[in-house]
Amino acid sequence: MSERPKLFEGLQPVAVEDLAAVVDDDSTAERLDGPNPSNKRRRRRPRRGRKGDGGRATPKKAAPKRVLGEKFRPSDRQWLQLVACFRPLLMLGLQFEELIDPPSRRRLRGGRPRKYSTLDVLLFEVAGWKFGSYAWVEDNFADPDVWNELRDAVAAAYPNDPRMRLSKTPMNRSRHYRFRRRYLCEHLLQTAHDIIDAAAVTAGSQMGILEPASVLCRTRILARWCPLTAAGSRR
Amino acid sequence: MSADGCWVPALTRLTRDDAVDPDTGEIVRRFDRDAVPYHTNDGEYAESPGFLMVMVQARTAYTGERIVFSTSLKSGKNKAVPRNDATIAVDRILELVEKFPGFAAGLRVVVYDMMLSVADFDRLLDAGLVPVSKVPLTTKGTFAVENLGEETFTLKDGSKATRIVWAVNGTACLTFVDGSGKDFYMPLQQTQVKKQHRKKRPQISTHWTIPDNPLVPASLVGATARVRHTRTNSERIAGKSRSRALRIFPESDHRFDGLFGLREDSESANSDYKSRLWNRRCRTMGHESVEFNNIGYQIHVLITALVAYHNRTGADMTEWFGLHELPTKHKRRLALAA
Repeated sequence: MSERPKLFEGLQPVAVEDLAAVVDDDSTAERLDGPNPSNKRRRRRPRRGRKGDGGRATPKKAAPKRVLGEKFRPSDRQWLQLVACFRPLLMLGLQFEELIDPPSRRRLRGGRPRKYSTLDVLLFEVAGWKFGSYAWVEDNFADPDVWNELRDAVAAAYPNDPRMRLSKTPMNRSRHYRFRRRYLCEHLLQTAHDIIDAAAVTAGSQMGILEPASVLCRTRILARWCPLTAAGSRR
Repeated sequence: MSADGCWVPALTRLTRDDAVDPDTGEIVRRFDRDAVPYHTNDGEYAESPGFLMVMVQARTAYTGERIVFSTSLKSGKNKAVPRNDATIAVDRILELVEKFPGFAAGLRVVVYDMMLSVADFDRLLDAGLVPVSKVPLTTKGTFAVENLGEETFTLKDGSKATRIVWAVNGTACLTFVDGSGKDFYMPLQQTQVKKQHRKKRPQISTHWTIPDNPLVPASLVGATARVRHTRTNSERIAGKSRSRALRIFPESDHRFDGLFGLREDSESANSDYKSRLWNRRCRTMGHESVEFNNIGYQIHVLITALVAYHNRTGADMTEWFGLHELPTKHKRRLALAA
């Protein structure tokens, strides 16, 4: 595979007639040698030497040094509490509640009432992304210790707003499915997009991503500085 | 800021044709009615049915501080949405610019792969954003070359000279003839990017300098000209565009590799998104459900970024987490000297 050549490297001129030639770009051409080219087929790693094995000893590579404090991973319970106390999530839950079940229609409502709140649904959904499985989340929420801890955390984080509370009974997959099947509609999703996009932009501003002349305008790959400013960039 | 589309296969790989009994119309197996085949090769499905997900994101230079500004989903349900993922991404970005005026403040770069068409490129320019992408080859397989017309150069002695400027694979060039009568494209050196706010829409232009080269007459060395990138009203009406072959950051520019490298971030984001799915497939069925999943992912990334930012800077997070005390990393205690 060859990529197309770069023109004007080092500000060198190019003959006009050279540009009329078809560029030899086969980076998107169909491969004829299968998914693994024969010359690059993965070779079996030689075994490390053992006593009496007779094999050639391969020195074990030293593990790269871990930089302490570079990445912070909260525990599972800490993470669930963070999600449960996240204000945009709670605001979105309240907004969903008003859209699904407006107070003006509550008297007319028939049938068995919902025993879960939309906050529970959102918490369940976001937690699923962290732990990769709704079943895992359901199992953990079913533990009264975990669920009550989450409820207490939310109540402690927002003591003055009684609307921001989780339900007494924990959320499960059945309820999550029922919510998605019955209530999810375009209007609800648009509301969610509006609230979460606004939260993302606000967070971006706070973190300096959206600052016009931020020092964070530098590119990450080569760690070079691009002098991008509102007035223009001068090298 | 970078964006990219990614194909997310549906929960089941069956299509309507496979799952419905043609004689009785009975649904005999489970399938996602909103999933669509991505593309076909000779009438056969090249990919299993699924959804096209487009994510617009940006990040700081620090670990974990990535923010997804918007997600969008294309499926069989919203057929009015354009097919091209770049067009979807540009639509989302322009929505954000419209909603949040600070979004396009300064010179904000939008990095996209070669799916970004000329029309989308111009839409971003009109919004005051700076698109960064490569120039596609022509249908004949040659480099794109376009005549930009005459531009006025200011020479070093202050006099003016007019020359025809060409755009070759993104770079502004002049043509010169060497001693043997052979024509050459001489690339100009970009020195400045300017964004000016006009009455209706911002105008983006670049300043180019003629470099010192044996081909260039001595009087022209160091002369500068301003080349406009945004379209004029007459160009807009006539359907003309300078973006077919001209770029603000062309491939020959030393900053291009660094900026275009940001595209890898969006690839990493897509990879992270799919790595959290079981078997790298959607975890639910139906357009609304999958879109709801994506909103969940957006919230997840936002929380991750805020926690990472708090741990780095110690910023106050009451606005985001109320009175909840955020967990902090434990610092290693220094061992007492013996």
